[in-house]
Amino acid sequence: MKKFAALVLAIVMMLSVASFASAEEPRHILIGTTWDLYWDSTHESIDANPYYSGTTADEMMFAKVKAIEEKWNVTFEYVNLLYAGAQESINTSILAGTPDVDVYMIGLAIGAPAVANGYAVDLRTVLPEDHPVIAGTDEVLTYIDVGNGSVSLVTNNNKENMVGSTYPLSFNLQMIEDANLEDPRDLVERGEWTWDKFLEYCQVLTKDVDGDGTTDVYGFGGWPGDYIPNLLMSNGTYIAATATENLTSPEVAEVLKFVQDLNLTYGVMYPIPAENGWDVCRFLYREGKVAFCPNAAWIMDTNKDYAFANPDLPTLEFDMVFVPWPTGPSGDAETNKQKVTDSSCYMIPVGVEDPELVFNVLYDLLNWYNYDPANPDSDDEALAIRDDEEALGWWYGVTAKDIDLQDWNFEVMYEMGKRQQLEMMNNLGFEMDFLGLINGTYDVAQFQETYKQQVQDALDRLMGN
Amino acid sequence: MKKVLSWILCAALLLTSVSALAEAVPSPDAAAAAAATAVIVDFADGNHAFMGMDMAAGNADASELSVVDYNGGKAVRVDVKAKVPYVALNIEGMLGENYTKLASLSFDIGVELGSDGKFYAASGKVYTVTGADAVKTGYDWSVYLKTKNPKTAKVTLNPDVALTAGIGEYLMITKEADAFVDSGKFKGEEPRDIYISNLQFFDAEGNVLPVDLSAVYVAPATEADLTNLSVLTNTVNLDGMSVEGGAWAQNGVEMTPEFLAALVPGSVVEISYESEDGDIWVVMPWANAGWIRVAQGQATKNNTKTTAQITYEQFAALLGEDTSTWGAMFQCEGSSAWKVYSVKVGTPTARIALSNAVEFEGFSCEGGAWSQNGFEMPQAIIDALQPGTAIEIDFESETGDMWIVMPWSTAGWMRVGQGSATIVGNKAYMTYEQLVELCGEDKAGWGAMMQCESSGAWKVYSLKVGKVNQLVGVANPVDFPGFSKSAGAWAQDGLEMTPEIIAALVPGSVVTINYESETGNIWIVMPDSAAGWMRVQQGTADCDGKTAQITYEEIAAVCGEDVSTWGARMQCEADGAWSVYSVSVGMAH
Repeated sequence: MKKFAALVLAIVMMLSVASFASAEEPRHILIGTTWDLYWDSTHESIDANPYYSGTTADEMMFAKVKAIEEKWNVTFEYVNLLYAGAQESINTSILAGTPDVDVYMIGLAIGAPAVANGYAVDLRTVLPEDHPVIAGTDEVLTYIDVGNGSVSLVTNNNKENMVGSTYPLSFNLQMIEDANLEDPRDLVERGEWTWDKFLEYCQVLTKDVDGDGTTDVYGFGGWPGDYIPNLLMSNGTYIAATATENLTSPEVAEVLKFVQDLNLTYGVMYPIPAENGWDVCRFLYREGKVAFCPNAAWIMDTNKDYAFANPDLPTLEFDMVFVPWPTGPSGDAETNKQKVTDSSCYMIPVGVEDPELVFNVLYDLLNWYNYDPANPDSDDEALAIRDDEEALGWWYGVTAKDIDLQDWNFEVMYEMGKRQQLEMMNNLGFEMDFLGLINGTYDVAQFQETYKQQVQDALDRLMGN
Repeated sequence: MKKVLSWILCAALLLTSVSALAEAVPSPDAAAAAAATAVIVDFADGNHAFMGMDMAAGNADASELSVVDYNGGKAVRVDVKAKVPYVALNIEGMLGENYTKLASLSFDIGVELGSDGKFYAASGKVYTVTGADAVKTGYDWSVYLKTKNPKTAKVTLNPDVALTAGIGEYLMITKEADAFVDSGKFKGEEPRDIYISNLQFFDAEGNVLPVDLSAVYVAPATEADLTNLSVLTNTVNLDGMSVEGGAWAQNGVEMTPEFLAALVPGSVVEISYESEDGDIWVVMPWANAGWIRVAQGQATKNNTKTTAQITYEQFAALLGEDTSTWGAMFQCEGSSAWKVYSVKVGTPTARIALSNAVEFEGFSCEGGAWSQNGFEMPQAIIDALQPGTAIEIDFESETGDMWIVMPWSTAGWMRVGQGSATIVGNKAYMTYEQLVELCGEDKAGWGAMMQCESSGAWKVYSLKVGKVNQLVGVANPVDFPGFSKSAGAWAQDGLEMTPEIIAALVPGSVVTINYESETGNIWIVMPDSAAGWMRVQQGTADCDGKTAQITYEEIAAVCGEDVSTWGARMQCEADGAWSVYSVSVGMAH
């Protein structure tokens, strides 16, 4: 009888607890953005999103809202703070210990200084040590290292986010074949795609075709702004990614010397014109004036190389093949970063209550396609919905006319996109005279010395040092 | 006797009381002065005359200002109509002698809720507009959460941006981003209003600066009077040339090497001035050729007599070609009391004005150096692009250049006007012909997208397409005396030409007509021409709705080269009712 009474009492207590729990007010989570995002707890209809297009993805994103509310007993809301508001909110409310929102979705120009100043929760203090996001193996989110070791800025891992803003090295396949050179893709595969090999190829491919004493085809050519960040990453380095300038590091010096040598020592680099350089340089490959060049989907689309909108009317008769940048002497093909990140990223501000719950909500929100992190090897269906190839058609179609080559080029961009590097060298508020370096106005040491302090001052400003 | 004493006592008490009362109550003047000075601008008295709308920028909104009840007090409501409100404050008038001490300010700012009753963030800038070149320096404000609406915005001015009294510097508060508009859900609705109150100004030590509430904001003329004048480019200012003098008194400064170097053949000196009789000229007292007056009574002046232009050639005719012999001192002089605000030298270019312009609705965007941004062309813009038309872009850019990009052209990704656009002030012009040269005549091949680009960070406020009119500056204009006429549509009226006008009508000369007409058109009729009754430039004269110009060559094309055969009279005519206020003839710069 006592046991029965105890059981009844236990059941009553459990029911009471359950009743109490279910009565608990759901937590309202604010996600601060700098533009309008749709489908949150304030939207009762899928039509609330003016951009709703009726796709499966749309239906899933809308359905996910209710699922999150029920799973975590929360409601959530996107708040467009605008750019200036997000900046002010971060700089004032977090510092005051009462962050305005639970998550900021922001650009790196705001996010990196915030993390550097310790304004964002380090997810290593919140998540288990072996969490895939911490380990960098997660399919939903990846984190951006701002140089202080923290896991604070995360970005969407979807393919479109990854391939965007990648600048692969591209080569003219016909030139390689005509020169009886081994396909660089095979060298990449064997881990033999190095600066030395690249230089060797450039030397072979640099030619005076008509024998008039003037070089007609150069092994390499491009706009420094497109390739210098990539060569830095290929040598495992950067110029402006942390609070301390890295322009003067030996690794950067190797990159600067290599670039200068391509022009002055080996004469394999197309001479950059003094005016409209980037415009000319981004067109060289089309005119058959270079064998290798930095490239990007948007450049090839702009040039209408393979006429995505009219695939029967390509304007380029030969194939441009993407490969990763060759590995420098201080780089490592396995670990080199390959894309300067410019993705929007998420951070949870310091001072937010229960940041683990906030992270879980954010994770589920971005995992609208219901990927199962506990079963990563058998969840291709979810990823296929997220990365719908039809929706990504432009990214495939603009870089090649051959379907296999489209797939190859896309995969190169995607793999590069998965290895992101923070690099603020183009956001310092001034331009370094790379043309002068390439043309020999400065030697490497002079170049480093010329800009060292300016880079540091700019970083101090950007990072709020 | 007691009664007498009592009366005396009462009288004494009364006088004492009145005296005390007089001490306790301030005089009316003192009260007014106290009311006109405040440490915080809370709009409690309803006065907001010290602020107004600045309409200089191409994206400026004609917002209405009013004092309303707001948040338990009073505030200025900025009723935004469509674009960016630039609320300007006569800050120098408000702070008086303390103006240059201004180091920071604070104000309460709130945002009107959306028409759906929800909060939408807004942000903008506080601009100081400083220096002779009116340099804008911006500081952010934002209202980004409904729980912080309204809020107190605090702005600390950059100490490197010097404030200078006496040159018309001012301060502006704008609203440049509006999440209500950005949401795209409320097309056709006006942007949200903002409310401003409790303005306070501080010096570097944080002390509140008193504010003179009797200051009045006077909007600068939104359109400078450029009649008769050339637009100058590549200008060099003569530093310190802000001087004044009485009638026939000279005053000036020594020329800087930069100013002297810019005085080259073809250049023009421009004087911004006022004088009692409207005249002004230059004196070069140290010239090798002697103490010389330049362009006395012969400077080209605008109608309002606020700007005068003198060509290098007018200087050289008196001083010689070698500027090293002109002497360093540059002075001005007038036949009545005068003030000169600035002097500069530059290269004259024609003033371009569009007629029948079609606005590219919503074309307001910005970009970094060498980045493109733009919109798909509406049909009205495509239709407006015809031979003889041009694209006008109202812009700002770090490097001063601007052009368009046609990224979807079937001829390829095209830049139009890079290095060849005509840049006049903050406007860039690219002609239809430049567009056709690169993208072809077939509009179907242009692609719908039209973008802007510059070699420096840029902002574009508006874009229009219209017929190109080029209005040139004229030297030594000869007034057509008494030519002030009005008539109905298709009616002619005019005067007999004076010998001076006939003499001025030589190859290279221009007839300048200051006018108004219902249709915007005006032209000349030569009724007594030996070639017959002739209309000249009917509907095709270069004009901007206020000024029209017809060249000697255009008259000669219908009346012949020999002016003596043109007949005695010159008349005007238009296809709507018209008024002509003045006519002059001068040589084009």
